[in-house]
Amino acid sequence: MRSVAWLATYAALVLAPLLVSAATSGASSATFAVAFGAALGWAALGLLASEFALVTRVRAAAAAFGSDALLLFHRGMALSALVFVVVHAALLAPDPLAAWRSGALGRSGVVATAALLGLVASTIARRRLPWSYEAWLLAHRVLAVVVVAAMSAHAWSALAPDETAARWIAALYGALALGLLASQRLLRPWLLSRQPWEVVEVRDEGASTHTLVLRSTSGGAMAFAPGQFVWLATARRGGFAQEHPISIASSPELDSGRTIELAIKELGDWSREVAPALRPGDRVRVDGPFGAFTPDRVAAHRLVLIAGGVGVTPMRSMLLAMRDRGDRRPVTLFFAAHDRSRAMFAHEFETLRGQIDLELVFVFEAPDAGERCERGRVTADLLRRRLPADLRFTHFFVCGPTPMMEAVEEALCELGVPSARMHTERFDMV
Amino acid sequence: MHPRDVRTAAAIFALALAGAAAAVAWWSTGSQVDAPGSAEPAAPIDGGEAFARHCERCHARDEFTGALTGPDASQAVEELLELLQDHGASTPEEDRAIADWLRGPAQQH
Repeated sequence: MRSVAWLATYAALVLAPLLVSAATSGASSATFAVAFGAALGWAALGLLASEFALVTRVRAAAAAFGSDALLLFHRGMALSALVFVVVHAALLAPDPLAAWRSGALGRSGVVATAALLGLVASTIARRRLPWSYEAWLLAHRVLAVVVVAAMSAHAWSALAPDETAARWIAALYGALALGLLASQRLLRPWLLSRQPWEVVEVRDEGASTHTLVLRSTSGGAMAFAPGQFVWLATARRGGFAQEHPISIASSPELDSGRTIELAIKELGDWSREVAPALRPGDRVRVDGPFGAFTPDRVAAHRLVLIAGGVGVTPMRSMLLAMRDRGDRRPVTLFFAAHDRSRAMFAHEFETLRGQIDLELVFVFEAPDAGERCERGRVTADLLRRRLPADLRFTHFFVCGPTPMMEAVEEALCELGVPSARMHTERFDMV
Repeated sequence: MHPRDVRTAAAIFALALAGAAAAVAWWSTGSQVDAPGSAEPAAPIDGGEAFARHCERCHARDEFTGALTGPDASQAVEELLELLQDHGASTPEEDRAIADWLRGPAQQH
């Protein structure tokens, strides 16, 4: 029901400009094609202003759908808005040069369309372009502001002075979008930086992984569900910078949430240089928790956790929570890695076998001689061999590199596992 | 949510929104998308009113009167009608009425 309520709210937000303009403008002598083009423009205004709401990190919305799902939906809506804008322009002003020369109305439309094209194209081609993630993110936000401002000005210009309600909708949506952006990028970071978390320990876990142990400086606790993540911002000269999503690796019961552990594997510039350089006493900014990837929200009699590489960190949180809560449900962890040296927390998981009803299955591509494990990858055959035949009331949690997750999802489909009992979290959100 | 389900939801939402836009357009134009010949004969259009509604926000009358009353007036009128076809929300009938009005009181129907 929670997700239905959020969907209804989002739909109302998107539809409002279109419906208000229809109600206030009334009958038109224009052709259907021209009226449709104008209506698509209003629909695009609602879509694009609402894009900011999808990525504003409202915890309740992220909990209902998952942050990675919201981001994927955000991309889908941007593509849809682009199609609407292109058709709108084709129907009302197919010659961009003539539109530019016609005055404020045409120029604002051309600017909004060009900025939107640039924004979508740069996102699609992000990994192929020679720029850092931070540079792309800055350009993305600047272009988004240009799109919204130009689009609102364009809508305002297209309306007669006596079309007051529609004009105010155009202005309000522009202000709403920019307000959401300012709230997320300026106000929220400022508020969070006043309650930083302190690094109390940095543990080398091997396998190119470090665990940051963080404690709240305000004395407050983070109430999170096992499997959720936070956005971690590390300080740089001049202020906090470089936010990254990191799964919480500790139990929610640890120090009643006043202490959390984040396991960071060296994968990119930040995780190789900035994170390992943190020292006890350093202050960081933590925003969260977020995510729907948690067994706390499902009624499962059995849990199957399938992890690849650093994807095991949310599973660690889940297993430690089961231990701390005395949860005796059977749980199977399939942990895939190249070999034992790259399987972080392997020894800890082996210890947990005596504390909870845990079946531990290591799946190594290149195991050491004499290693007791499955060889290769997680496949449908492997799952069929190691799991009971009756998988009713069993929920599956999958996290790891995208190719591995796609292969495991296919394998689970082969086993007849419905998508409602398959839970995934993708780290490569953008 | 599975990415496939998210993409499906996004596609459905976008199609529904496009459908809503089409419905609004159909309602506001009184279903002019119907077959030709089904419309009633239109009342005469006041070119001045049409100019005020579609053009006055960005243009003044005297931008055009010079060309439309000069020696190449008929050519200028054809070029204006061609421009109006692709520019703005006026109908072909309104375009003709606007052109006539811009040429002066003696040219109006």
